[in-house]
Amino acid sequence: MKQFKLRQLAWCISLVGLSGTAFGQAVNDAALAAEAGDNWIHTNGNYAAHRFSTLDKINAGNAGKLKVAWVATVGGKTDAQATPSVHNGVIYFPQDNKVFAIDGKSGKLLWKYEHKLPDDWGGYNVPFFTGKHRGVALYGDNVYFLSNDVKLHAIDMKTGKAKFVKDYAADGFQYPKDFAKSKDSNGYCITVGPMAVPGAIIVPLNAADTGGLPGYVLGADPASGNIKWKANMIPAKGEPGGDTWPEEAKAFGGAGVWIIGSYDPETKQYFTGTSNAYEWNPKNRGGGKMDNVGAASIVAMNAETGKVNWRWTGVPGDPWDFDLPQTPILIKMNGKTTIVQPNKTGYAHYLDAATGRFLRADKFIDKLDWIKGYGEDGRPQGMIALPKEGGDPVTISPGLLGGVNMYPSAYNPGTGLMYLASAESAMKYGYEEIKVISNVRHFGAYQEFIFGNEINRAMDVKSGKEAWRSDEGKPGYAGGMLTTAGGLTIWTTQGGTFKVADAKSGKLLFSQDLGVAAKAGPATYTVGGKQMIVQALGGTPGFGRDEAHKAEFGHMLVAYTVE
Amino acid sequence: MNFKAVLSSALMLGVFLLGAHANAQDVPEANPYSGDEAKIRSGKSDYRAICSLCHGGRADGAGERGTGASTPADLRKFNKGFRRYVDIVKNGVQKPGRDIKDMPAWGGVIDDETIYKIGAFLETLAIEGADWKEGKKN
Ligand code: HEC
Repeated sequence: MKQFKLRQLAWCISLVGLSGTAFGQAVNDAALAAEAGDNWIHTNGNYAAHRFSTLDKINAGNAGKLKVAWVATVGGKTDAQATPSVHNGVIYFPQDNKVFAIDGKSGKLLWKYEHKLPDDWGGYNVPFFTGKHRGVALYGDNVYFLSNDVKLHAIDMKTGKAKFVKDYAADGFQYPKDFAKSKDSNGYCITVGPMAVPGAIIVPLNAADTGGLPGYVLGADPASGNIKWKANMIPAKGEPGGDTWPEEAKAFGGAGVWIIGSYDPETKQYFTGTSNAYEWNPKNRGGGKMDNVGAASIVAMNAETGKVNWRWTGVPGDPWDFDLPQTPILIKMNGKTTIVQPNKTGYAHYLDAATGRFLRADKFIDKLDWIKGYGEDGRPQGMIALPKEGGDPVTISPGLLGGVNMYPSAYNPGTGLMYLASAESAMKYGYEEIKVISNVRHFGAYQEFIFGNEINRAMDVKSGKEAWRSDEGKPGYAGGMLTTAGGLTIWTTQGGTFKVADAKSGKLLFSQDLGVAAKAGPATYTVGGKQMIVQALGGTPGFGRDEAHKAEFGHMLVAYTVE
Repeated sequence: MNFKAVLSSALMLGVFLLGAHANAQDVPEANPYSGDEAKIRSGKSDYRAICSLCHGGRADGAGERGTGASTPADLRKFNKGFRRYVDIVKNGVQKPGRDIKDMPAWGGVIDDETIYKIGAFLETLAIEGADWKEGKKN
């Protein structure tokens, strides 16, 4: 108890910012609420997830003169998926269950924090996740990091030493174990990053489909990591939507939380998209006829109590592995906070953030045939017939990688345009018998991808119309989008070409082939009076084998500036 | 199988498989289910349920849960022969410097019969250069 009080006290002191050093002042609540400018604190730029920076030193006038300022590597062994967080010129970057602090001016390593996964780490599709992380959170003078094995690490920004490591296994969130070593190989496996909001570190629990588990968002105490609240994505009996599942299916129903959400400080609501319902083959959860509310949904919760205010389901009964994999972007429209969320479905969904009421859905990809459209009631209309278990697969567009996947979008309040890392695609999708091995429920479904081109698009959020596009000519998704007050939109293609375009017209201002796959969004910050743009690259292009790119595995961070 | 064949394959395998393979000699030289329609259909179902998420529905290596440190193999081109196939599926493949086998070891959880059935199905997808019999000597 005494120790706890001391911790709380130390935490309060750090928030007041008494710890100013070369690493600068602590990240207080005002810094959390600020727009991205000299610092890039939140993975998604700001609370509203705009990935927009107020910096304009690099702009349409000089972007053609961009030069590589430095190149660094953290020796990554798998995809680099994190947008770097930057505070007072120091970059914090997670990779392979390590966190690196890198000098934003020179690219030199300042410290490295290393976490070792347990010896019995393993599981069904766990190799795919191992070593991937999509961001860290900065708050007080800590870097908050989620390791794959469901642990929250509070790391001192200056020293790189852990202040605490909170393990959530005792709270019921165990990690997946190697099935050669354990009879129960089911567990949560975290690749998503945490987010800091006043008084809480938000901990999303993802990879609920490494064997079948329900998704949660946790609110953790920044001083200890202890759980303050726990929000269930799948509604319990008695909650609205609680009767849209067979009761016994909820325990393995999925709805994992793959993304860092957005936050509305006025209403203290936190918004997230949720992933597919589980198993992929829907026969144990209503066969596509029950809505499975909470999966493939947007969920709004109070960030002080965890109380779920509403859930809106984008793909009722989710028979296609169509998660809602993007961060709900918050945009003021007609005086109201509106959620805009582009999705795997090929539509951008618009909801009233206060109530979750459906407003409209704008189609953004060229080829789409899984439904005829969304009705005024916000439900898909005219969905094509589901495949029969063991029968022939059906062909639909988009495929399950989606019109967009988890590669983040950006919104520029200056242009009123939203920028999407999108792609054309289709798939053959079929159902098979569901096997259960080592307490792991297998998908019971399979897909054959039909790849289309990576097309990065600008969409007018008022009209829903496409303003411009950049067809990259090969399959894949850009790593993610960034947009700035300098009138720029910036991304790196799946194949690794760094591009800077005029945010309004889409005119290409700068492009450089870096030769390494991009699976993360870029960020921008100021150091030594200069605006820098940093992009993490790493992995092999594509999901699975994608021979169009003919690129081998690579890994690096690149920073650009203008002299 | 004659004594010489047993000896030479034991020697060949021994280089790769030290220990861990008490039952290597129980694995037949050729897949007993090759060409057996019923087994192939059942193997297809197992493949789709257990392997396709990484190797893809077409077994071409394009699965949603494929890419990590290694890209899943294009199993249509598998050319290491039946016994190596069984060995790889049972013991997995780990890259140096990784905390996990990117190709998991299924030995403890799926039986030989299932592994053979999946093999019999995969053989039907073979394209040029594939070898499910003797295998390339590598
Ligand atoms: C978690 C993803 C994953 C799953 C599930 C998986 N594999 Fe693999 N497999 C891989 C990867 C990755 C490789 C390539 C490893 C390497 O060479 O680095 C591989 C390699 C192989 C190879 C070796 C190919 C060669 O040419 O050497 C075979 C055979 C194979 N897998 C069969 C299977 C079978 C059969 C199943 C289902 C029982 C299966 N795999 C399930 C990821 C997976």
